[in-house]
Amino acid sequence: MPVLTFREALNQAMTEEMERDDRVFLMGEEVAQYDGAYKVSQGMLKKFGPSRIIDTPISEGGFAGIGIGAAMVGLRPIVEFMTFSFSLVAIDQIVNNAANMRYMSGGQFAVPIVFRGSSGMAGCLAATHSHRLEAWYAQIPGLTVVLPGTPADAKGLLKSAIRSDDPVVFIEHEVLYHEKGEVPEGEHVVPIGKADIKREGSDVTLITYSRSLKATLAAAEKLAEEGIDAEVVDIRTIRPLDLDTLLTSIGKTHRGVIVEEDWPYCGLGAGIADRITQAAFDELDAPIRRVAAKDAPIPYNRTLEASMLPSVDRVVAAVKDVMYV
Amino acid sequence: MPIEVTMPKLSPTMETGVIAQWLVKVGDKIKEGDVLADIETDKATMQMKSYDDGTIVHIDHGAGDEVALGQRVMVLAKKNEDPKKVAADLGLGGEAKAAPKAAAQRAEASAPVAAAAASGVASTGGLVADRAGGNGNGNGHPSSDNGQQAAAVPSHGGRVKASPLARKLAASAQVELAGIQGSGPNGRVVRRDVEAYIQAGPSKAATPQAAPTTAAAPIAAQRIPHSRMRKTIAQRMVQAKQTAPEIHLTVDIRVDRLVAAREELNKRLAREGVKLSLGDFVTKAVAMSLRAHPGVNASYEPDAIVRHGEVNIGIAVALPEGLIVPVLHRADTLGLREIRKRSEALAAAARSNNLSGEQLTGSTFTISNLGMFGIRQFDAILNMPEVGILAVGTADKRPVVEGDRLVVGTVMTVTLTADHRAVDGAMAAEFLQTLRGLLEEPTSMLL
Amino acid sequence: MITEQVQTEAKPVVNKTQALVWLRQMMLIRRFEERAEMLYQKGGKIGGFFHQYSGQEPVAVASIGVLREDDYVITAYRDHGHALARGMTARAGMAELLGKVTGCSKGKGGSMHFFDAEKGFLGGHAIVGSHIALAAGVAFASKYRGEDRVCICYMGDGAINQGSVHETLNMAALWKLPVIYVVENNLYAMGTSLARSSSVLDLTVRCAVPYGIPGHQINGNDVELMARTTREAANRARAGEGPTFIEAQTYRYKGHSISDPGKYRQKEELDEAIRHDPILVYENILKERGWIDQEAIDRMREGVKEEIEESIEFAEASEQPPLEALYEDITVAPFIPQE
Repeated sequence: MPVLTFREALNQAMTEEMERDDRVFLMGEEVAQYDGAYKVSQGMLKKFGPSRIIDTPISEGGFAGIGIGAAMVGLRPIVEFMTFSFSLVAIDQIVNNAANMRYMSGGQFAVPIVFRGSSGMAGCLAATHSHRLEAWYAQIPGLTVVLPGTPADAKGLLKSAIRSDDPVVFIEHEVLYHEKGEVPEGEHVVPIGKADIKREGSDVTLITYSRSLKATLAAAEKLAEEGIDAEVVDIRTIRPLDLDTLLTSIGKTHRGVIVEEDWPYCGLGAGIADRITQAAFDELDAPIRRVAAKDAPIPYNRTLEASMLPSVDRVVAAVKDVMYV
Repeated sequence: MPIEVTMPKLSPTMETGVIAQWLVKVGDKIKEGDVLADIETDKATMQMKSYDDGTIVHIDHGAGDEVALGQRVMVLAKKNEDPKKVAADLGLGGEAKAAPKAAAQRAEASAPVAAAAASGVASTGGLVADRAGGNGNGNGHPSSDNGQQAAAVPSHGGRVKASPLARKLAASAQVELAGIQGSGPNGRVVRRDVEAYIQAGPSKAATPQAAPTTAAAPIAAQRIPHSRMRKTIAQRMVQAKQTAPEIHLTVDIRVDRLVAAREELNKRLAREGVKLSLGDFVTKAVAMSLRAHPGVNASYEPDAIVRHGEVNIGIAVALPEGLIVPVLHRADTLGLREIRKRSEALAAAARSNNLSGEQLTGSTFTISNLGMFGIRQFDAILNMPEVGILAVGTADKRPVVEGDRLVVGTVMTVTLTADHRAVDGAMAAEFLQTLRGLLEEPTSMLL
Repeated sequence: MITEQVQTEAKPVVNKTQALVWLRQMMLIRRFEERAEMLYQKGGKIGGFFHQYSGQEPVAVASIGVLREDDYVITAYRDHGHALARGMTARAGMAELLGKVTGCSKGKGGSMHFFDAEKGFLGGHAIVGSHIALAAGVAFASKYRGEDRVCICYMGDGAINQGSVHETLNMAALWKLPVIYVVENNLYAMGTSLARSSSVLDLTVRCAVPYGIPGHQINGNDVELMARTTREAANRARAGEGPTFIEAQTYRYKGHSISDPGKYRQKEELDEAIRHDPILVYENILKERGWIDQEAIDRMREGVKEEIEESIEFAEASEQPPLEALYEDITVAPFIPQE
């Protein structure tokens, strides 16, 4: 199986879908002539031309809305935010228009659009450029929110997102772009709404997604050396959450630790922990613990920034806490 | 000042407690955390523990006495006080004179207070130790008029801290969380504690003390303190009898064909070393009948009848200490061979006290079989909150009327006890009808 | 503000049949809102925000009236007039106001969110300025597919102060999108007059000139001027020449919403506007042309009244949405409530 980087996998997904369906186009800042700020769209202008790979002015609210309008009448736009931090400028369009359109119109207008781009703490980008907004979007009924953690999932889920008839918020992690992994060629479609058990185990369920998957898997290996057999569930789709897979795992291990780069208060992990507790309280032998970012704006300083991330050591400590060891 | 020990609040709703037995006697030196007595509350039999160090100078009530909350039950002399002087000053004369069972209690009282050691309560003072010990052991907190300790123990209301899973396991295994030492934070009882407790088994977990040999008594009555299992059985049987309006339906089942089928199958299974019992067929048939009559495979809850999705059959196993009900999960999906194997494994695990939490939990209907003792018919008491239990008698040759002829047939009598709050007579009868059909025509079980 | 009612040129720009249709549509919108206001205030049968279009009818009727059936119409929350002008039935609109399943948005949208996909009516949108980009997107799709369908987009004068409006005007011009932007300048953004919110009173100077878009400041209450200006804009758009900006000056009779006492304007101002009521003015023009007489006008008005009464009966007799509808029409894929 070919080994691709995460960005190449995304590029492949978009390219294949644009070849398959001429309603699909890519729009965003620097996606065309510059070949993509993070080179995700590299070569696509050459392949598809300026009518389908469209550079925009720096007007996130405007071009997000243009994408939604185009989707309302049948196109399938991919709108790239250079980083999802900039989606804050367009959040009115995403929340009020993309998410609500079908409902407010009594089912008359669907919005088959993908908002995608990088996000997360990527190193010395400081407070404005390091946002993790998945919990914000995951709260909105009407949106689908996807965060892949591996190149193969990136390709398979982006293809599903583009084919979805609903608005999808597809958040990539900037530090994952250069990660390599085996990616199936051609028709590799990963269903939306399905979690993936990245490592089987019986003692504790580690629930994670996106970049935190890496630290979580490393923590699981370290725990294995100490005789603790951790199961790692990559939720992949944040909304709708694959609660069944989580409950099956919790039913087996009776303990859960959620690992996320999101802030702790009202963060995604809070919502997931609540849903597990509501559904499987009697299966829990310990409170669900969360390893999240520290509750502070993201600092520029490298050491301070690193201290905010869910590290292997923090995951291991949380696991030992719920294992009562 | 001597210390007056009062009846503690050992359940959220208790107003009085009955002294089941004293575990200490006048003159004993006791430490904080020592178990003083077993107290029957409205909910359960609970240990009453000491919050003080001292020497017992007086006991107010004997075993069997009902004492109101906060009322004095004993007086302790503090370490620096002379017990005799305290007794004299107070005009007290040792143990309760009025106690009707004083003699028995005195004989018992010489038993060493081993229970406290078994419960493993640290006797170190201080708030944290108090709370950990108190919660971990489920010991309640003293009523507020036990001034000395009231301040030291914040109002946790005697609640046992336990993980949700531990609570579920304990409830299903019918063990009292209160008796389990918690190993989690703040004495939280967690799964491993419950499993260890169940593994240790009632004989180890309980603290039966050999009755002291009293010199001159030629034929002394033997007093066997309640094991936890015994207490649980007593409590649950009483609970069932008090809350469930039971109905009993008895039916005779002609099992000649079943006996023949069993012989035939056992010939084939002999190579595998598997020998089916008639009980296995009953288990299979009951499971299938429950599937057909979900109203009998149910629990009665205050606001609803819960019809269970799974058919999990509890099989009562007699042990020297009492009765235990391991569970054959999803029995309706099992073949006879598997039922035999699993039943054997469960019985063996029960006898060696090796049943896991899972093996003790989740039953939805129970079978009690006394056929091996030659019992023809009996009524079983419900295993709450289940709404049905089947009492199975022996299969023996009896005169049977066939048409107008009297012939010899093999007949088994079974009696269904059902909770009439959930199961009406007709529903119970229909269940038995199905069961009888399956057992009289064993090949129909193949359908 | 409008200081004088400019009479339509003697030479009509529409034929008689078309003119009578427009007159009736204006009457229908007016009556629809009069009766809806009654239902709101008397029986409490309508709730929430309720923004009336009365006084502005010619803008929607005459501009939509010159578009093709396959063109797109999108507007803000003051949307009853545009929806009815586009051909939505009074029944569907009235039932929506009453929150019924038979409403144009199945009772999920209410007064501010009328939709009618079949008529190419892409909604009432209630976040000020938010739908301007949607209109550009609709026009983008038309151009992307090589079609000559245009999108007309209405907004109030308050919307021009939203940033995304200017982002969008820029992109619409940059990409020559087939879209017509109509600002219905009724002089007040809720209670704030244009003079107190805009540095420049000529809105074409703010919204058209900077982006190289042709801009027209016209009397929007002049039915046939509005029609002609829109037709020219549509022709430009279909020819691939890009967007047009129209500032249609008009006046709303009612408050911003039903709860607005209108203390920010003088009664004389309102009275003056009502004296030049655009429906009466158009009636007179058509009478002068001999296209209709008073008797026919009265019959027309009676017919409109009956149609509206019938729509109320229909709306009241319609079913409330079942509680399960709460989870319906959220996503195209089966919706899984995250609860």
